[in-house]
Amino acid sequence: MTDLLRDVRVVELSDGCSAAFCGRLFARMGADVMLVERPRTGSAVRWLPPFLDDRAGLERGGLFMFTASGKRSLTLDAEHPDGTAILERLLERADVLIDDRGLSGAADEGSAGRANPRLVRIVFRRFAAGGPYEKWLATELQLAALGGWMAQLGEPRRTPLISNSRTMTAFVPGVVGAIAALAAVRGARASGRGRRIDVAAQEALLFTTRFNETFLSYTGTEIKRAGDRYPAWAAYRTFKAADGDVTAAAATDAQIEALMKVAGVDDPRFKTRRDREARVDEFGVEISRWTAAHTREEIFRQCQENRIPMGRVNRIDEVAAMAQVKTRGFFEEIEHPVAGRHRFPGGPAKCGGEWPVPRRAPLLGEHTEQILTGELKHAAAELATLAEMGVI
Amino acid sequence: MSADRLPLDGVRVVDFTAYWAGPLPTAIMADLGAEVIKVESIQRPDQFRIVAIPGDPAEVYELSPPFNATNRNKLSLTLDLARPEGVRLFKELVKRADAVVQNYSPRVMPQLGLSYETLREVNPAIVMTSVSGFGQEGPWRDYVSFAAIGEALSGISGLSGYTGEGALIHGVGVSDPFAGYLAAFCTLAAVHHARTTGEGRHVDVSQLEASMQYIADALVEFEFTGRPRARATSDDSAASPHGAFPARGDDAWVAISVATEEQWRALLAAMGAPGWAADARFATPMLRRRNREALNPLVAEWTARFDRYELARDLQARGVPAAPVLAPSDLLKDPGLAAADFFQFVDHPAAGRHPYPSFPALIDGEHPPIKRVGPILGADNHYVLSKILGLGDAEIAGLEADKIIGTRPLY
Repeated sequence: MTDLLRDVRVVELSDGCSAAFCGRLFARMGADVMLVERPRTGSAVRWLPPFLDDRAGLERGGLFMFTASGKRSLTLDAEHPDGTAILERLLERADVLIDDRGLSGAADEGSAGRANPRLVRIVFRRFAAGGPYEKWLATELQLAALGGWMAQLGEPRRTPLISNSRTMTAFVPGVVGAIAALAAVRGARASGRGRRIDVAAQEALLFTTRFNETFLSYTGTEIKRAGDRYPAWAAYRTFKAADGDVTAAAATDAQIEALMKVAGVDDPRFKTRRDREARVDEFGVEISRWTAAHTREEIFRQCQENRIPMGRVNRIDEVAAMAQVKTRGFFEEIEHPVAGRHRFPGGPAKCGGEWPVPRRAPLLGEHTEQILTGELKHAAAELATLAEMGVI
Repeated sequence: MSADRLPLDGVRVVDFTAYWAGPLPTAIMADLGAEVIKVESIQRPDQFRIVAIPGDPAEVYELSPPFNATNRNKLSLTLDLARPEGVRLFKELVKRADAVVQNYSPRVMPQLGLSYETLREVNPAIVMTSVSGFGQEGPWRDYVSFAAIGEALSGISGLSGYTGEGALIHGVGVSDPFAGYLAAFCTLAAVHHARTTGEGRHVDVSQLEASMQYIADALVEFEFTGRPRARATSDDSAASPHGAFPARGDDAWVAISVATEEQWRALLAAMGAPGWAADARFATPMLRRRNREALNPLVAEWTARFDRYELARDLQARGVPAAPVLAPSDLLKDPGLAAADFFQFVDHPAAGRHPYPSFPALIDGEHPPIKRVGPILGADNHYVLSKILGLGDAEIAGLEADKIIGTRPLY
């Protein structure tokens, strides 16, 4: 039984991946997550690539299917007075409101969910409110630039980079917000009082870097991107193998010395840590001689059998085939009425030896009737009127 | 909020972690109000105290910036878990705790006599969270991992670098925090469940599996289209120009994204309608993307004349997403972060006063306070043993004489 949050109710109003990933984490752990979507077009996340067979469509978006796993969908025009009234009733019974559409307002006066003092409200934004960037336009690129990530990827004199994945940065504020919101639910259960949580993507990204600003303040040394290596560590870097790249992350002297042994490097120039750090490049040349003569898989296996942290650099088409991933059953097969049967990454973690139950994403408005008549006790005739007015 | 309680007030966590992936989730719980007791030993302190800073281990173990930053708001207890008395005291703490978080290799806890099954006998409601490279079972369970290994295997390194070139190391070290964040969330979910039902759980977080979740777009794209995404200098965005362009000064860059026709026209207007603007190769977004090898140098030639902050502000005013690329020295004085009081200056008995990043969420309008950083090894031995476990002064002195506890590492 992995439904650890089965007594937690979440209302989600999301148009972006951060809020959607936040909601996913609650849903995966068993919370009842009601995704409130616009009538007809749905959440904007439905329209983000990738799409099934590269064709965009309401029920064809892969990111939506991943992030909405296990959620229920209710269509509602949250800006229409009748829609607002329904939203208020949903929020009276909720523990958490996830919002990136600005509907919960800045002040308590007039903001959604004001009637429920236990409600935890979490708001996602790009930059801190009231600061100089508040109104700035930003894609994941500007967020990575201002959040300290770009300066940490790339070669020293060349253009700084982001990784070729948007979710890699977009999910970070989402998980940070989920942690804070769940902590606040715990607090609300103890004290009866909800909280307001504001997550700015710039801050969430920066917190995720390795405290480089603190390091600079202590040492006067600025850590910046160093290409295929981590600055100053002799054996924390990539090497060329016969069929691609491998990554070594040898941190301790014992690990580095074990790597030298496996690679057949027995050289007085690299006897101590200080020697190796003084001749980082020459040391790399010697290790590369060995890696270049072997495949990624051979290097990975031989090093790991000798307790050396080594990884093969996988391509995207290789990851699902890893023995460990298959044995653990990380990927899950989910049947979807439009998309058919597909394999998705699972997670977030095994609890009590089990993965969360795989559940598919909802079709747009799939649970509108269930929620409005079954739970909020609206009459069927009212539903017809609301639909005619375009509220649902 | 300072006079108020934090959300996790009343939650107690035993932290038996090292480096970053394990200490990060407990740091977050501490920031949010949990009482977190970090357990090390004088025989074997957290290696993050010494590997992340140059110098003699015996001199620098209180001076590691990432250790001191990652272990904020925690109490420090030393216990030699290689001896029965240490193990007994650890179990006494577990009796009085909500969660244990550990990130050693799966062999270690059972070897110490502290497996989840054993801890559950001591306290049926205990949550144990194990963060490891590959998970608690499977053929690779005992393999060794650090951040870069999770990145290599998960596919992240396959997406990180210049078009057509080799893998680079992600200086952020992403797979550690990626796993740490999921560990924090799942630990809190299990604590929530345990507080409701009295039933604990073993939470098993793998760095490899955590990392794959954050690149869901690439993995689902492969599943839906059969197309394996690869490294790309300006990523696979449909926008063009899109990427970091040089600005005036040493290693100065500005990140620009042009996605719409309006933005393209605004960029051209900012550039003073250059002669090549009418070039047929750049007539539509599709053409600009296809011909970006030709377009990027033209944009770069222009951006290189300007200060990155001024250029970003000017482009933003014209409706073009643009931002300076900030390195640590810039971030320390960034006006946006300063306005939000993101860095908190905290005194440390050995390291002095330095800035530390806040937990990146406002709780009722404020960042949770960082009351102290990097606990001095064993600084809270007396408090934990006497106030939480109820030991007398003589017993504590005996433990110290036997080196079960202590305050100086035995390097």
